[in-house]
Formats: sequence, C-alpha cells, structure tokens
Amino acid sequence: MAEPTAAASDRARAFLKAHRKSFRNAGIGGIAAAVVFLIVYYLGLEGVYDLSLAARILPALFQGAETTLGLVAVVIPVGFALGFLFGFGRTSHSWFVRSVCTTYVEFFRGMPPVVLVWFAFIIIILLITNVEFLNVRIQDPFAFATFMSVLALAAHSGSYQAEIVRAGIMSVPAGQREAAEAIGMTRGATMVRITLPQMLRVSLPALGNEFASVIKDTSILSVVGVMDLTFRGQNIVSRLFTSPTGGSLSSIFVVWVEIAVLYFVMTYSVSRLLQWLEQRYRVPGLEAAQL
Amino acid sequence: MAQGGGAAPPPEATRGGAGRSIGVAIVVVVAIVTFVAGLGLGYFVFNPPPVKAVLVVGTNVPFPPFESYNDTTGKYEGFDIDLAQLVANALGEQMQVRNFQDFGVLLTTVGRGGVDMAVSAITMSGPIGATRNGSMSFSNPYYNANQAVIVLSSSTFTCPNSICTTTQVGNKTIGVQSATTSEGWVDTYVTPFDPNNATDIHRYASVSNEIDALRTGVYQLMIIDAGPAASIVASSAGAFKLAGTIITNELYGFAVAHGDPKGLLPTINSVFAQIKSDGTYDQLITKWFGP
Repeated sequence: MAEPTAAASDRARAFLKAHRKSFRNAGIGGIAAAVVFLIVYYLGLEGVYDLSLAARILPALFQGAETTLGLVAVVIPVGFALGFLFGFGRTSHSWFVRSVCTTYVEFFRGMPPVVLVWFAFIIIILLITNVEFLNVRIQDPFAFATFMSVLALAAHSGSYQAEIVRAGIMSVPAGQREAAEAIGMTRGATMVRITLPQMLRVSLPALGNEFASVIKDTSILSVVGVMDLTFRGQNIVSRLFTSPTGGSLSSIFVVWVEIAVLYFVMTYSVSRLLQWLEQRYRVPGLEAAQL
Repeated sequence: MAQGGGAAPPPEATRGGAGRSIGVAIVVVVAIVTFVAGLGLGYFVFNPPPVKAVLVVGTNVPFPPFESYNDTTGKYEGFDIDLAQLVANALGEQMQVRNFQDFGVLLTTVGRGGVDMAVSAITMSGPIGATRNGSMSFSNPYYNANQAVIVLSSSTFTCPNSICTTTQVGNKTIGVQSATTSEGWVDTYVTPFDPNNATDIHRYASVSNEIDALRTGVYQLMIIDAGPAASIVASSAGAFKLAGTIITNELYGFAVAHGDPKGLLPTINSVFAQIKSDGTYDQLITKWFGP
C-alpha cells in the first residue's frame, strides 16, 4: 500500500521540481489578475460603474472578439508569408530581387498602419467606382475595399516580419554555409537543412513579439468599419447615450476596461504559446557558441 | 553493380536534392497561383455583368434615431433603415447595409454608383444640397430637419427663446461631424464672419467620437441635426442638455448614383408617396421619434 503512494508522491515532487518556474510564473500572473479584478469589481460595488452593464455588454464584445480573431487568422499567415518571401529576397545575390524586396519593406514599414488601411480602402473604392468595367461587375465595392484594408495591414506586418526573417538568416554564421558547401551540399540544400532551421529558431522571439502586436493592430481596421472588438466597443459607448439607461463617464470606463482585458487575454495567450515554442525549439548550445 | 567505371558523376546528379525540389515547388506554386488568378480574371472578363439581386445600401452610424447598429440584434436599425427596407421590398430585392465610417467617403461612393443607395439623413437642400446635387441624384425629400446645439448639463450657455444664431455660437469651441450639414452651417455662417479666428472648430469623423469628446469637455457646443440631438439628450441620463435649435429647414433625401443610371428614383419616390398616404410614414415617425 505504502509503496505506490510513495512512488506517486515522488513523481509528483519530481513534476513540481521540473516545472517550478512555470508554477511560480502562473502564481504571479494569477495574483496580479486577481488583484486587478478585485479592484475593478470593488469599483463596481461602490457604484463607480454599473455592474449589470458590465455583464450586459459582454455578448456583443465577445462577438467583436470573434471578428478580431478572424482578422488575426488572416493577417498573421498572410503577413508571415509576405515577410518570409521578402525577407528571404533581401538576402538574395541578385540586385534586382534585393531592390524589389527592399522597396516593399521600406514602403510598408514607412507608413502608419492606420494610413495604410485608409489608403487601401479609399483607393479600391475609387478604382472600382471610376472604372466602368469594374463598376458594372462589382456590385459591392465596400466588401472588396474592406478585404484590401485587411491585406494592407497584413502587408504592413509583413514588412516588419521581413526584417526579422532577414536578420534571422544573417545570424547564421557564414562559416556554416561554407562548411556545407565544402561537403558538397547545394545552395538549396544548405538553405533548407542549415540556414532555415536555425533562422526560424533564432527569429521566434521577434516573430512572437510581432504576432502579439498584430493582434492589437487589427483594432485599426475599425476605422474602415470592420466590426471588430474596438468597433463594437465604440458602438456600445455611442449607444449608451441613446439608451434609456443613459451613459456617463463611468459606463464608458467599464466598456473600455472590458475591451482592454479581452485584448490582453488574446495577446498574452499568444505570447505564452510562442514562449513555450521558443523553449521547445531553442538552438542547443547557441549561447555558448556566441561566446 | 554498374559503378560507371569510376568516372565523375554527371552534373545532374550533384545538382539534385533539395535545391531542385525547391525549384520544382516554386514552379508549381507559381503555376497554381497564376491558374487561379486567371480563373478569377476570366470570370470578370467573360461573364456578363451579374443580375442584380441585392440592394446595397450605404449608411454611416451612429446617427440615431435615423440609423444605428444594434448590438443585441446584430442589425442596423432606425428610421432611414426602415424606409430603405420598404424600398427594397418594393424592388423585390434583399437589402444589404454597408456602414461607411466616413460620411464623406459614403457620399463619394454613392455618387459614382459604388453603393446602390445612400440612406444616412443626407441633406439635399440649401447650399450644401446644391453642391451634392452636382455629384449625386436625390429622391424626393422624406424629412425636414433643423440643427440643434447640445451642451453639458453644467454649461451656462443659453440661447434666447431656445433659438441659436451665429451671435451666440461664435467665439466658442464647437464640435461637428465632418462632411455634414452641421459642419457646412458652421463653415458657411460662423467661420467667415470670425476675422479673429476665435471660433475653435473640432471636426469628428463619427458621432460617437464627437459625443465622447463633448462628455470629456474637449469642446463646448455640439452642433448636430435636431432629430439625433433630441434623442442623444433624452437618453444621456442628465449628462447633456439642449441649448437651442438653429433654424435651417433642411430636407433629407435618399441619394443614388449621379443621373440615376439604375433607375431607382421612381420606385423610391412612389414608396414615399404611398407610405405618406397610407399612414405608414406617421407610424414610423412615432416609432423612432416618439409620440
């Protein structure tokens, strides 16, 4: 009887020891979240804002968060594909490929995303409505323009990711490429077997940072009327003033607190996930190699 | 085993492997993308313009009670939306509402036929209406509106007999929505007679931003159409009050593309005439503006 219990407790102890850091971090995070929640809840009890309002607006905000996640599901893969392509291109030996890729990066990195998004929206509306051929065939330019705004945001994120990818590729020491050449690997094989595996792992922290920031950047799409979390929040605030319960600064406060929390939850989950990936796939002994 | 008699392997053998498969993969991907793009282009080039089945209606929320987005039902609603639905019913088409976040962009888009119809409390009379008539076509008017001035409840600003003129409004900080008749009125009657530039005008793309700014004291006077003004004040739970009305006698109409190429105006006008004679119009007025 005592034997298996002891083994189980040993296993449990070993498990706790192995994951001590994770438990500590989770504990700190949990306590911080609880403190914030208690402060906000206390303000509600004290009547600073309406607790029932806080619960009532949640379904609409969740719908908005769903839209935001949908946008993220488009922007991150498209942005990563563009970033990889153009970042890879920037390390090319051909001056033509290099200049095309550099133009892309500098163009999309040099403009604020909100300007890019508006620019894409307006230019598509103008293009479709001014070209008779398109105008008779496309009944709903709004949908096209909105989609193009999403792509513009992806291209903006792609320009940052291109730089991350380029830095990742360049971080692989030239000596490794030369060694691969010396043992008869082709350029393609060197890229696939030597450079890319290390580049992806070196770039992971920076990419994770960019992914987290893309989630927040999708809020910019609300300026062209995409019904994401930010748009739904603004809409709730404006309707508070036209509903029988009325609106006040404190009800604006509770709406924006909930929006902030929802964005935080999304961003934090992604950053934790990437941190885990980073640990899992870190280059063994890279720190020592740098010394 | 035939070892080739110890001769050097042919160049194809050394250049195989990952390098070649990457090349093949790129060719395949480019081929697929080109093929799909060609299909899409072919659809536009060779297909005749699609048969209309949907009435695309452009609007700009929030502008209650004329138009707003209802978070609970997830639908656009309001006086204008109900009227537009009646028009869609008369045409036998589905109505698709598109929310443009910028009123100016909506007007440009409808003028060039980017949406079939714009329903957004659009003024068709006066100097602004005359300008708009040059770029879009209007139905018969369906509503007669004035402007109103909203202030914070704590404000000491008043107008004699609740009729505000440029005399009272000048030299204040004023908030208006861009591209609206409110902005037009300020720019026509206030700004030109203000040699010292003492009137500070804040222009907002959407009414929700305008309301937030008034509530937080960014400016003093909010000038907006009288219909939404009454509804904003009535439901602000005492945060705002109506300082007075600016008599402008504006007429609202539905806007369609310049010259009405799709022939929508006769149907719209006959719907207006019919609902005014059978009492539906009065019911809608009661529903949205109160008895």
